[in-house]
Amino acid sequence: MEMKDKTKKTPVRKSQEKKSDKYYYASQWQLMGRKFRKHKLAMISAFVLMIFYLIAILGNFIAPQGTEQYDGKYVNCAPTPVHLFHEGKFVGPFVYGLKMERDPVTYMAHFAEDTEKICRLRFFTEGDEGGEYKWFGLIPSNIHLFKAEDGKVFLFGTDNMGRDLFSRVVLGAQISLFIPVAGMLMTLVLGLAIGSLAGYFGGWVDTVIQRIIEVVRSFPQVPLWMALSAAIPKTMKPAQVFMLMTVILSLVSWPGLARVVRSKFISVKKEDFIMAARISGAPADKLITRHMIPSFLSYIIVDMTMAIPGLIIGETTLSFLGLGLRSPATSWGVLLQETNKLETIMFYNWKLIPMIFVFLSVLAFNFMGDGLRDAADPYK
Amino acid sequence: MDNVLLEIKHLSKVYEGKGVNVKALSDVSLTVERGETIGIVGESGCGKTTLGRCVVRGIDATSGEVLFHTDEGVIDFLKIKGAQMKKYRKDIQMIFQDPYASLDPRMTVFDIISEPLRYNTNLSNREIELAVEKIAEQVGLNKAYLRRYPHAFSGGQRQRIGIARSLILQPKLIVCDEAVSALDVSIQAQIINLLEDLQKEYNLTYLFISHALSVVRHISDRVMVMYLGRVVEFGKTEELFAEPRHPYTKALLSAVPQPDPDILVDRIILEGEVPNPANPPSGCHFHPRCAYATERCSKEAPPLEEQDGRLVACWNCEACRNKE
Repeated sequence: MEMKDKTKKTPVRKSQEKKSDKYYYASQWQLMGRKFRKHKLAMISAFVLMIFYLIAILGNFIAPQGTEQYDGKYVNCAPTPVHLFHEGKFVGPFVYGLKMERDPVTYMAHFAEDTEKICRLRFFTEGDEGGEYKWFGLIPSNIHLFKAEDGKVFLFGTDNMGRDLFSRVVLGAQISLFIPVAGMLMTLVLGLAIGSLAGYFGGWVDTVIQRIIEVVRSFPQVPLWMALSAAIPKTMKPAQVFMLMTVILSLVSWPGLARVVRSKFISVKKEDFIMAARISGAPADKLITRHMIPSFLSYIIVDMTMAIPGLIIGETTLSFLGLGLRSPATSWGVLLQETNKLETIMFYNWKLIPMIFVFLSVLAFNFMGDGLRDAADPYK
Repeated sequence: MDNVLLEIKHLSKVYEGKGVNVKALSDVSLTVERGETIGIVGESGCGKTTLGRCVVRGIDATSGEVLFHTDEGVIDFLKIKGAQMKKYRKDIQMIFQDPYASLDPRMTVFDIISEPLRYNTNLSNREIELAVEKIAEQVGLNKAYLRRYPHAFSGGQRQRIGIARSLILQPKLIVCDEAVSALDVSIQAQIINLLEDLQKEYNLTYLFISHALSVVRHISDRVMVMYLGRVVEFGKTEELFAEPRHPYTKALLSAVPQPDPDILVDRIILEGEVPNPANPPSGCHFHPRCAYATERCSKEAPPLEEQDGRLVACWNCEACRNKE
């Protein structure tokens, strides 16, 4: 009672008490959230990744062109800068028209801005013919985020078929960012199931699983990916290829996770609170799902976050080598295929832009994993 | 009905490692009566925790029996399975030493205490709630704290949570494995009083494992002294403390600090260290450190024999007594 009276008189104390109260009622994940939020770099990375994934999800709307669209007139066009002022006067966002010129020495064609012609950018507008898409595969629409009125806007330039690189980067993110996550989820399921079996039962079950893991792991990873991907028929639809690539990535990466899960199981089996649950009559399945897996799930999630960059690079590598998705379907790896010539890097360096996105997302995942690792055990 | 609750017979536990087998528990027998408290004392590594864990089936004993006297006759608690297991599992529960490691930090206190009920009974959520609130009140936990997580509590409060969890199934026997040794002395007293009150209320039987002799002396009816996996002496608390027979018990008891500085104690300082249990001495395990050891001690292990209502395992008890 006395305590209560005091808290009423001093508001500072009250707020402090509320704070600690929240702490007392905080579950493991809430405690982890508190710790994670203190890691600035990880927070920034999480924010960047959120934006990337948002762009990927809204890809068809944000990209001015669909994957099948191209414009033979504008081949290898450099990025078109977006202007706000024309001859010192504010006109709002616009691009200039494009005209083709030839270099007097090399006779190479390139595009230059035609400052006579102003093409204003229109937002939330009907796209070109062929730009139709379906919201989440259901609602048909042709509304796009932006479009230049009677002109062309190529934020990242175009490729050698006249396809807008910006659109392809945005649409490629759908593949490049989701294949690793889907692959990781599948890896998680496989790794948890197989690792749990080995770790919980031990004995000959453990021995057999360990030997299988050793066999799978002794294959070199990249050639195995290549062999499996090469087996994907060329006539398959992109959606099916996506599924298969997910399966391939997880088939190669589950043994690592299964090992981690197994060793966590073996160490957690000796914990007092596990024995306490067993003594109070918990059956094996409840013991595993209610006590054992939750006790190390946070570590597994950290491991997985740290493994996603590898899968992003894996997908990019496969597609770059022509073993993953193929044009016109797009991913960052497919886009980088064009950069395998010196000529491209010399004359069309904007085609390296997808690399920046690979780089940024890999970096962001690594930093986020770092933050998660620091937060993984909030009880220390 | 006889008054026996539990008979531990020839219980042994061998930890098998690579190339070494550690005999943590060899041939321990003990009869426990309803409502009594048996103290089990000994140095760390003497097998007392292993004994407790084998009895509750926290770990599997290598050989031996734990005969549990139920209304339906005597069953071997170590061998029961399935439906029988489901029925009797709840009768033997345990309180752990470490109140930090023994509570799952990811569950609320309510979930921790109610968990045994969910596995062993078909009570409705409302009934479970009432049962948890009742037991929480009994062990001195505020009802309002039940939705908190264990990290919100101090060691003493956590131990109360552990006690509530082991009590909620209304067991007949509770193994208290160093239940108070991780706590402050003042909190120890509170918890021990709590255990005694609960014992009276529910007619509980305790196996009280501890290295704190003063605590054991206070709470136990009978005391068992262990050394390297074997029972060396077993008898009524007052008799055993008043007149220890086994040389090891003597040394152990002389190490208890006396609160009164005027009492002079002949402290028996044991030489050497506790031998490696993987490679115990021949004969009587205690002989290398024993002041009364004879040649026989190093060759043959002494049997646990009854002397005036007490069990002692020593060849030279008479000699030790006469020497005094």
